[in-house]
Amino acid sequence: MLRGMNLGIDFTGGILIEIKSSSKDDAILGILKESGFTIQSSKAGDNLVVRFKDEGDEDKIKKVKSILESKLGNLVTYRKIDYVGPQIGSTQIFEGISAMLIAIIGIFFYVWLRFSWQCGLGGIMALIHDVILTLGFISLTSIEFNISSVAALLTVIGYSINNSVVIYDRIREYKKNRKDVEMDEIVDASINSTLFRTMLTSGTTLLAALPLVLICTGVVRDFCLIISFGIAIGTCSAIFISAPILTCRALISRV
Amino acid sequence: MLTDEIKEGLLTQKIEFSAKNDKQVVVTLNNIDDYKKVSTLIHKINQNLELSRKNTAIFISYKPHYKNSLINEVVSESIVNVQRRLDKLGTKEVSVQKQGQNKILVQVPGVEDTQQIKSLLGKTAKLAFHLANTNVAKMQDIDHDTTIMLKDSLGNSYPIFRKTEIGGDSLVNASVRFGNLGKPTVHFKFDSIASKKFAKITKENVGKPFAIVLDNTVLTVPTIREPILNGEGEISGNFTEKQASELAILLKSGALPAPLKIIEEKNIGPSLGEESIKAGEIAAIISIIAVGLSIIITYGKLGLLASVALVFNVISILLILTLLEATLTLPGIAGIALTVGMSVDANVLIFERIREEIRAGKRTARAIEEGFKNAIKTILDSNLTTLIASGIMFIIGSGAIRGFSITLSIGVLCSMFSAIIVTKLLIELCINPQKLVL
Repeated sequence: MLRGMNLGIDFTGGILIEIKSSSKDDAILGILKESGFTIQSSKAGDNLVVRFKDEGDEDKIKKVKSILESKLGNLVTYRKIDYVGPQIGSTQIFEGISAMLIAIIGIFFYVWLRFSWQCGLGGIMALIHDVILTLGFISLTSIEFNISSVAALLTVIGYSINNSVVIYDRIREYKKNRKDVEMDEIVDASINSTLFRTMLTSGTTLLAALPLVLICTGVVRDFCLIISFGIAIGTCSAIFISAPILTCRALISRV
Repeated sequence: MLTDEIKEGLLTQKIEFSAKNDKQVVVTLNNIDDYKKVSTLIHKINQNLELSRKNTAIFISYKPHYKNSLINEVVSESIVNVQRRLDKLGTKEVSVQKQGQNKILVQVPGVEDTQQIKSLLGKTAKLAFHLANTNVAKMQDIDHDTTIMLKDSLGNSYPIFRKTEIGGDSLVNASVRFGNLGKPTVHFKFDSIASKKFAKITKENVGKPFAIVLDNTVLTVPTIREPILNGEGEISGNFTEKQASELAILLKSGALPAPLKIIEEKNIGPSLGEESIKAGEIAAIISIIAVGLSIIITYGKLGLLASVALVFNVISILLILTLLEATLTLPGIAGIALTVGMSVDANVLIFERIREEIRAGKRTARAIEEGFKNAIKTILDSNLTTLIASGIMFIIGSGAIRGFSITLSIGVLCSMFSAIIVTKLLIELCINPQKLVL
């Protein structure tokens, strides 16, 4: 059941094979895909450039050659075979992750400054919840994890915190007006009064994602699938995690 | 480099020799008994040097595994540098990858003219500040151990001290400015350590010329008129504006650890087929229309105005991305379509607020006023959070992360502007509060 992330060529690097272009191009790509290879292809002049993901097996080049030979005979002319490194190197991955973490800390302090540290905590909890679930979604559906997936993940983060902040804003306002009311009542009223807005915004965003999921293929479809899932989760977490956390007894006493 | 270092070391030990540099350094000793001394010296210079001996000749080369790790290091450093040179903001979707052992594969989308890219990659961009030797009147006067003759682009030679006073790695900024005659110059700023050094040098050498050297070519030999204390300066030469901005990019990106040679250049087609791009565009348009319709259904006439603002939003995002020369890829188009879905948020917040104010018994005109005022606070808070996060990602991240943070910020700012200002303007122009039904 457990299968790790399906990391894309962007991260793993791979093998680049250039084949002399012919009328067989589509057949070649079809055969490779059927044989279970993850490939990217493009045309360069009269060359067909195919990239394979590097999965650590050394005889991949041999395997590709033998498969193509058995199906197409000797019609395939190889122009160049070479290893390519990852487009996102380890330094960039490290940089990206630290950028994300510091951004999350930045969000925490901003929300603390504008609202309270409890709100900051709630927002971050919801956000972490969303990221973990979305990563789980990516891994479960074995969507290829590449640069676009990272962008999708970042969008989900932005969206999630946005939802939480809108509810916090309402809580802050209610608290100012009605000092005597219990915290859970305030939270409840705030969630209710923003509920329509939360659902409508999520709805329109999902509506925007839907045609892209249905009509497009490949990278775009994956990108939009991740975002759709993330938005659905982000909406739930805003309503069920980030705001109700404020009613937690340990936190109220210090509000 | 290595040869120079070894030569210098041997000279100080007073060992007589002749050295040759051709893939490996060959030192021929005049006195064979010096071998032991040479061997200890070489190991002191670098632990990873290997010696082999044949009569009076000593062959010095790097150990193979050290050489490999050195190459790896140089390649990965070059990759980072190339990325910086070609795509400072990360919005151009430039891909830079290692290929084979010591090659780099660079892919730049949407460029017709590769000349500029080649000229950006073709230079090592090693900048150095030297003092010029003013005591040289005749060629015979030159002491080759301290002074070197360097040429400028026009072929004039200048005697210049070998010692590098300040290197290009001390620069913190470089930009194009226009001098008083309207000629483009490159303005630079040193870091604090180099600034102090520069101040000291200029103080001690007032009236003397110094040379700014790029990749062993003299750019300019200005005379120090007064001490420069703030660590800033200008390189003026016979630049065109294009050359000046190229030099500024090169200096800001830093020097390549090794010169790059262009081995192969090729035009490649899109990795996504023609049809899938078409499909993407159609889907994006359907998304925008669907969002517009749903908001019109929910809010009626106000929704219609919001949709107009929405179209304005899309156009302004596209406009700004075009001005930034960002590459619009298919995921980028999808991103814009999604931004549209989210940008409705600001409008929804405002309209919901107006509804609430009306429910609370306020008159419509006043409700619109109050609704906007109260909703703007929420909109600012929620969008500022996003902007802060993307600002941090811009500062720390590079490449694609940086590009993403820019697009995200543009999307947020444009949708905030169109939802708050454009929609409000449209409402004031087109809506008669008395007839508005919500």
